[in-house]
Amino acid sequence: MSDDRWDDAPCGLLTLDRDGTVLDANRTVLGWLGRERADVVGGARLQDLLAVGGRIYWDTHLAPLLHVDGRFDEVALELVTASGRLPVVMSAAASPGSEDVPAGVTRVAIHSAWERSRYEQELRAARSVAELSARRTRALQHATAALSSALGVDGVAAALLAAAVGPLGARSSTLWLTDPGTGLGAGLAEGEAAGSAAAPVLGDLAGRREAFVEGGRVVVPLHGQSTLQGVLSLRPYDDPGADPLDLPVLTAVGQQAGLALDRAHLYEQSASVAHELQRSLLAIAPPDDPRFAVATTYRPGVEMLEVGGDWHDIFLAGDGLLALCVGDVVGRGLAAASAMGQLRSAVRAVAGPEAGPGRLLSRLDRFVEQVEAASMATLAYAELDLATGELRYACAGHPPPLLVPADGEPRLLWDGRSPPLGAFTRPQHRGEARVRLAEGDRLLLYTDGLVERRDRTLDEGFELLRETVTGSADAPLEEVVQQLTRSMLRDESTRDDVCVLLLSWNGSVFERHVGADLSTLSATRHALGGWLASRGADRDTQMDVVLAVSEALANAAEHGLRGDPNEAVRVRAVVDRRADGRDDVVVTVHDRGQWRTPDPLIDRGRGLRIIEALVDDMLVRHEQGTTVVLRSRLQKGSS
Amino acid sequence: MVFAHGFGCDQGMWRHVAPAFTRDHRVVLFDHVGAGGSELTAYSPARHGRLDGYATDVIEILDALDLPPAIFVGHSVSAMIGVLAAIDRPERFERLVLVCPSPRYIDDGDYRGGFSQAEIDELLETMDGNYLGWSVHIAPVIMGAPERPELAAELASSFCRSDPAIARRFARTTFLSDNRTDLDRVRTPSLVLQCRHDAIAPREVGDYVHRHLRDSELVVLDATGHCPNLSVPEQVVTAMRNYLAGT
Repeated sequence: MSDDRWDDAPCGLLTLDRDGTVLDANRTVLGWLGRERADVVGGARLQDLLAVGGRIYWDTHLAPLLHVDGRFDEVALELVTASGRLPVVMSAAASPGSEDVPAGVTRVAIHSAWERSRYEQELRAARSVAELSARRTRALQHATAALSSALGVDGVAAALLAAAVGPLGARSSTLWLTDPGTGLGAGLAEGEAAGSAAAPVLGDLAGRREAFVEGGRVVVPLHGQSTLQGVLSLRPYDDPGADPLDLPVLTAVGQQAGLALDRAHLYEQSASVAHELQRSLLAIAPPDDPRFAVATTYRPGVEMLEVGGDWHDIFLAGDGLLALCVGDVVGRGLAAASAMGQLRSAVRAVAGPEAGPGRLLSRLDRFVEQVEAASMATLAYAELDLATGELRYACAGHPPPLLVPADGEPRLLWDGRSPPLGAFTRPQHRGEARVRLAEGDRLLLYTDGLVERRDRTLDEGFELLRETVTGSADAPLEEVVQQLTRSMLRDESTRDDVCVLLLSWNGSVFERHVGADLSTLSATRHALGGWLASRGADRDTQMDVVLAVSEALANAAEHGLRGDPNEAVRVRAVVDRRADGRDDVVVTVHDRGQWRTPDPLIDRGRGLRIIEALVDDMLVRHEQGTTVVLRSRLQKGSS
Repeated sequence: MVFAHGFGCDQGMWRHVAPAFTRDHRVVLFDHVGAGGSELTAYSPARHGRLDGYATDVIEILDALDLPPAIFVGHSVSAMIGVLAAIDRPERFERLVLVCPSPRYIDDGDYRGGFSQAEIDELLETMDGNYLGWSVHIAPVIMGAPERPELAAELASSFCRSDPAIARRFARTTFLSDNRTDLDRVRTPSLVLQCRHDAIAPREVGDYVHRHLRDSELVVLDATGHCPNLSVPEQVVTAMRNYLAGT
């Protein structure tokens, strides 16, 4: 068939047999190809006339389509012509069988597509720009969201590494953070062994603000506002089908990460200022008086870096009048810490013998009107007359104090309660209550973090507190406080701040615990001397008793407890008025250990001989450990 | 008997072959992720950036069906996917039928893969840059556009439709992989079906595969092109029947 209608058609026309061999071609297509009819017809296959992309596409897509559907339409391909490649649009259909064209022959029409191709190229370019931009925006959004919600430098580092192997598409990644002064710190790796990536040389990064390729990896400098905060190195996937890493996106993420690290450092600095402030406020030296002993602890919350507003305080509000306070300011961070400091100072300023707990709270109501951040703070405040053991107390919205008697069950002091500070709309009277402590009784003040937990009611918390404290009346104060926080806060992963203050009123009793490492021996000697002086003992009695007790303590620590730093020796001294009216000092030194016998009796014996020489009477008992009882006449005199 | 289609199309490639075996075998057909009716969200660039990822997909299919050792029939790139799966989990495979396989499309030293690196680069560039034109036949989006029923009517067939973005990556995975060293590790007996004239997997490649597969038979089909399963299905069926009967 080669009439003019065929040959001069304004499009290329071909017929093919089943495997693509050209059976006929019109002049138009031969003209495009720049080839002779004899050269093409019968010898060439259509796919051989196509550029390589089209050739493979023919075999993978078009030939199967012709087989299955019998046609394909408007496929964009390129013909290889004498003058280069010609973009064409091709349609093909298998002949159903006609007079001219038998069944099994494929008829092909080809349109030159220069113009359409240019238009398509523009479309494709626009589309690929749009797709790239969408993909980049997505990756950036993911990374930025992760960075902005990360907490602290460690959090930002973890988020950045996770983003690197996540939305940013790296196979593995290593991050170096800048240590001030020392350059880059140790690498943190994700998906690869730490140290497997070569650490970058800082000098090489000078002035580089964009991601770049080096040694098959992508290196991203993380610049903050003024300094290089670190360097991220990403290893791409090397699989055949993998997408390459996107340098512009990594540059942008690097800038975000640098600023996020800036913020994280600032945040940690502010958090550490608040911690420092709080620590300095809590670092109080309790008044030194043998009639009481106190132990405190503060556990920061674990959920946030920020400090809370819990505090405790203990000070003399007057002669022989000891003020105790535990409180909780609403909020966290620097603001809460500074409000806590102000409130704590206000308590000290307002407290005094003429005020009393109830009136003190009323005055604080007025104070928090001025200091907004301290409003709604809660507070347990108590004043103890050290001579008589009389305790006056009041609670403003705060958990009740726990009284731990030397003999008997612990009980919560539910009296003297009123709402948090500043909760009244107009000034109102605040109540208080009283209780008389016996010698050896203890009082526990604490913040709600100790008893409040998501998985139990407040009542269950109080009950658990009572149970935990029960039976601890003889244990050293420090130990009770540590044991209490440990068991109350067990398994708690998201706890609030916790503040605890435990006071023991010794009255006329002197009581101390000395660690078996004897680190507090000197302080105990001093305190015992002071106590003896306060009982009116003369200089000689003070010296002899203190020396004898020191020997007994050293014996107990060395032989009874063998220097175990977790064990303590208890010293208790009382004044015993005998039937004849004479006053004796009776000191018991108790340890829970067993003295080795009989060998060390030589050493111990020497110690005991010294003690015997110093006091009037000495007794050693071995039950539940070892107790040495010393008795000496209290010689009165001016000291 | 499990049929796996090659790059470009879907399980419809087996429409003239699979029915011949339904009487004697349980026949399993599937679409690779990204092709045909597959769940596109299952595609993972990290996993499917290498043929091993597709091999893992095949093993997961066999594990899920918990079939006795299968006859795996893989066309084109799926022949190599079957090879990798059989190396990894030989107990799942009784026989491999490899239709037009190629372990490496690019020439390398003495090895003749059929394409130069430049040609493959051009193909990939063409695919990367040109799929708007191709998408008439690839993109499911256009097909599914209910507001343009005339398009749906025009392109009634869903055959050979795959997600363009996945197809581009699959092309890179297919044409840039080099699995020549894997052939020596196959212990499963295999049949290699080769076309007399195949531009994508030339005769030398079929010979190479046959030489390196320990227990293999080679049958050259009297056919041109890369898809004998469509162009000469009766020859494919006969070769497979003969091979399976001989065991």
